[in-house]
Amino acid sequence: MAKSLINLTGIKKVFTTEEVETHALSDIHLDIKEGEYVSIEGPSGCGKSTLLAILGLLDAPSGGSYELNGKPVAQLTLSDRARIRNREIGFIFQSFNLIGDLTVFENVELPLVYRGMPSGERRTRVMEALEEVGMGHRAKHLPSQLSGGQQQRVAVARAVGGRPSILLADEPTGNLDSTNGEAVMDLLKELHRRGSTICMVTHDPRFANYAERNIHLFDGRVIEEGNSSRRSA
Amino acid sequence: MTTFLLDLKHALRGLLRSPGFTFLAVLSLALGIGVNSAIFTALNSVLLRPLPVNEPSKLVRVSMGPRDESFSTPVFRELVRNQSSVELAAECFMPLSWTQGDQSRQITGSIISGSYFPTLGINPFMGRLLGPQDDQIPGGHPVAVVSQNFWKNHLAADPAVLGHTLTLNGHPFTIVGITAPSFHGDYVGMVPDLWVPLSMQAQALPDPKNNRLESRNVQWLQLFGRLRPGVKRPQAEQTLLALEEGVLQKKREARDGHIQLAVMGSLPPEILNVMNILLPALQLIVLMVLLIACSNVANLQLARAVARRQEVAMRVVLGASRAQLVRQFITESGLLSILGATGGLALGALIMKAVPSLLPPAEGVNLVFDLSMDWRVVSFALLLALTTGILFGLAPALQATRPDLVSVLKEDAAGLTVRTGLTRRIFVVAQVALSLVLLVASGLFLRSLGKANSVDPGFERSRMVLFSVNPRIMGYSQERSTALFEEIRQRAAALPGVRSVALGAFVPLRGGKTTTTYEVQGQDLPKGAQPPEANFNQVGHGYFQTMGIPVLSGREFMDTDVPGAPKVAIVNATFERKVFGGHAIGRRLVDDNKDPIEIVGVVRDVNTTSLGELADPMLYQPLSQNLRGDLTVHVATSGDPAILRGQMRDLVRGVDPYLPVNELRTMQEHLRVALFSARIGALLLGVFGTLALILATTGVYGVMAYNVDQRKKEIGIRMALGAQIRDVVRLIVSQGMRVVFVGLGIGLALAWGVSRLLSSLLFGIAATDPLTFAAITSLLIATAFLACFIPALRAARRDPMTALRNE
Repeated sequence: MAKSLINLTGIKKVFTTEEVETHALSDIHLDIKEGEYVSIEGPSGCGKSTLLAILGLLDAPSGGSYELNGKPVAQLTLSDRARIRNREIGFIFQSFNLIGDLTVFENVELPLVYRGMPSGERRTRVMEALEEVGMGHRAKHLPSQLSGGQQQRVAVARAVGGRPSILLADEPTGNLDSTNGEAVMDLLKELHRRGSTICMVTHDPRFANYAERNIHLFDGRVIEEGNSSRRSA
Repeated sequence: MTTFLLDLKHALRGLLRSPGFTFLAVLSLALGIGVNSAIFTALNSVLLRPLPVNEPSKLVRVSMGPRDESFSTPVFRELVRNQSSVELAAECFMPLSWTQGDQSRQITGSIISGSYFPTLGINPFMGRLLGPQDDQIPGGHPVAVVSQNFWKNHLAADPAVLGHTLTLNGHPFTIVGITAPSFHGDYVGMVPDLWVPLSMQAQALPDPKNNRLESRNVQWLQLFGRLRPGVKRPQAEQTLLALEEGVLQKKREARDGHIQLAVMGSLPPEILNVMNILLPALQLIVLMVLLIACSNVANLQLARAVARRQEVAMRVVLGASRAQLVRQFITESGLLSILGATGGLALGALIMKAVPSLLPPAEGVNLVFDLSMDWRVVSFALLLALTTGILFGLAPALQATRPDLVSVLKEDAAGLTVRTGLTRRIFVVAQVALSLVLLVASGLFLRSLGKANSVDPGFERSRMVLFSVNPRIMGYSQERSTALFEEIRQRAAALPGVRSVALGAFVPLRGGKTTTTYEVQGQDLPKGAQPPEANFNQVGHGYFQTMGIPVLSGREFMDTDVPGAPKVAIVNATFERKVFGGHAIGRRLVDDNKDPIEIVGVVRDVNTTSLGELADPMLYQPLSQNLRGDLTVHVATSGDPAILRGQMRDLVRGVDPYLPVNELRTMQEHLRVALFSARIGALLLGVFGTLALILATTGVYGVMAYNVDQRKKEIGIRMALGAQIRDVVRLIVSQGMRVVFVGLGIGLALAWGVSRLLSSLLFGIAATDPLTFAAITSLLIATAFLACFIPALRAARRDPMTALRNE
């Protein structure tokens, strides 16, 4: 049986302003095992991205417990969180979030630099990751010289270059046309086939079906959980 | 290291990709660091840089007593003979008449012992330097070593000049060597044109009254020495003190104190004291300019940090620790600083190139400063750049590396803007406050300078020509000098348009002051007390009439006040009031020989040291009873003094063709030199103040433009809801001006304090001159208003729908 990679128990997230208390997440229980491909679906404002931010250690829950690789994360310092993000988690965002001043190669290299990896090893890893997403020939380009689909492939290469335990994708096709969207989804599927664990947030049921397990959120609560109807593209 | 290089590479690329930001930031820093480097170059040149001699730290200046008295030749010789702790050398600056063909000019020489150059341990540029072999037989070594400057400026840098003869004071001297370009004598700034041996004193510094090589009564030599190996300064001082018993105690020199050894400063003590205050004060002022410039850069960086918030957030997501991010930001600001320092050093070098043209003409002294930038200046600029780079890069770095990750990554514009707003406003407050301080100081100096030009110094300031001659250097006896001056006086008086002519030893406001001690007859001093001092001048008959100084009571000096006649003196009104409490006429003073001196006149106070000063007691004595070698001829005219000035050289040449004429100028020109410090103060502070104003205005504009840009959606909504252009402009300008007024308030308080420190340097106006404060405050309000108004108007004129869609 596959090992549990992420375990959330009773997670809550409350945003408090001067007069209003907004419950973004309530009583979330979630277990993601190694090698799983999970999608989190729901309408706008249902708490999908908040949940993903908590999973990615970008935000802290207001209540409940979160274990990553069997270890609780609640007491981690900011520096520990940064280190774990760097080594264990790969992020893919809707808006790609590539750094405009850096080349494709340097963008993919950046998390490995923060990890302190020797430059020779970095070069190998970066080129492997770029080849994996079919962008090896664009290593010296700047993001502005690429199409949206290509930029997202580079973002995927950056996410997988460090060989993280899990890939977190937040609406990875949101800024792409349908052709490029499909291509990125195929890429993620391929990564999953090779063993990557993926957790993807989307509001598009077509893409949610790429995952093997779907979680539906509404008003911050899991209202439905089940296996995907579509197993292959 | 690799990571650092990557940071550096990324920083460099980032700066290249933002040329506007980089240009503004580097320009601000270059201006700030440039003026700092310039002032530090002067400070380094004057106060820090050691003399360019062998082991300068082993050199000591030998002085005696609280008045830093000089030494007689016999005492110098005995000190050399009787101890082995210090290798001693002696020197004395003196004017020399250098004759070429039928023209003579006055140059500056230094008469030196044979040990002078060996003690300094320097090598010649060409030929040889003077040594002990040139200091043996009185009058037997007519040789000279010329300075590099003299060789270049007056001998056409002729390489064959060695062996040629210079006619000095009418005597031939053979040039035997040229000093190296780096050597400017043992005092910074005061370079002799040439050096002659002590043995040639009778020719180089004729003294009809004394044989200076033999007399113990004439103390004229300044001494310095080099500590012998293994000897420390206190030990050497003890050795010299022990010699006082044998060499000095029975002599006059011991009267006022003991021999002291001081670290050999590069400036004469009286100039050093001024520089020790002036240069650090200037450095402080330019540091304020740098602070303003740095605030600008920090503000630019904050704006850039906001623009880069998504990039920073992404780096955090990818696992960058805060330290790694801060390092990245600091690398960028450090790189900016290095670029700023490079530009600043170039600007500093340009400023220093212009400095010699700002120095006042100084005849008789060669003012030569080595204003090149050495490793100290470069290190200072780099240190300044890196310190400010880190300090002012830190705030943006710390702000930028705390992004609200979730909102920023979702492209929510609110992410970083609110927090940086406060920091940016604080920088603007600092800029406005510091600018106000600098501008007020500058305004006070300018107003003071304006007042100085109309201040009544107490004497005629417009229709007057001055020049000085020194017949003693041509070997004139006292009697011949008297006859010469009388002939010059009579010839000048006969010129058309000349109202009157008089002689005087010292011209008021020439810089420094001359004092004398006095005792009132019948008032014995308490035992051990020093006699009181008064300002002093020796003047010929008709002096007060010529100078336009009213005689308040009694009379001027007359032809009858001659040697043998009763000694007389004239005092100023302050002397009469302070010393006698009124009615000085007929009262008596006594001189060193206890001879009575009767006060025969009281004249109006004049400014002697600086314009607008409070008068001190002043004593005048007749030249006829106290003859001197060098005198200034004062010629009052009813016509244009500039025309008269042109006739004076010919007049003197008609009396003695070999007699150099010095310091020939109109009184107005003389006063311009006297006003040099006020003018240079106004100029420097004016430049620094303007620089500060430009930087601060840019800063305010930058913040306002940025704020408006951040609020374009809000402005769009307001406009869509029916706000008029004036409503939006009023809103934005009032918010901007609130920050400016906070800065002005703090600045006014600071300026109030600083101006009081400047009060001693101002004349004619109070340090808290309300007009200056009001004008500068209004100027800052007006420029700040414009800096707020322009971006506000631009925002208000924008199509609201565009603003809303853009957001």
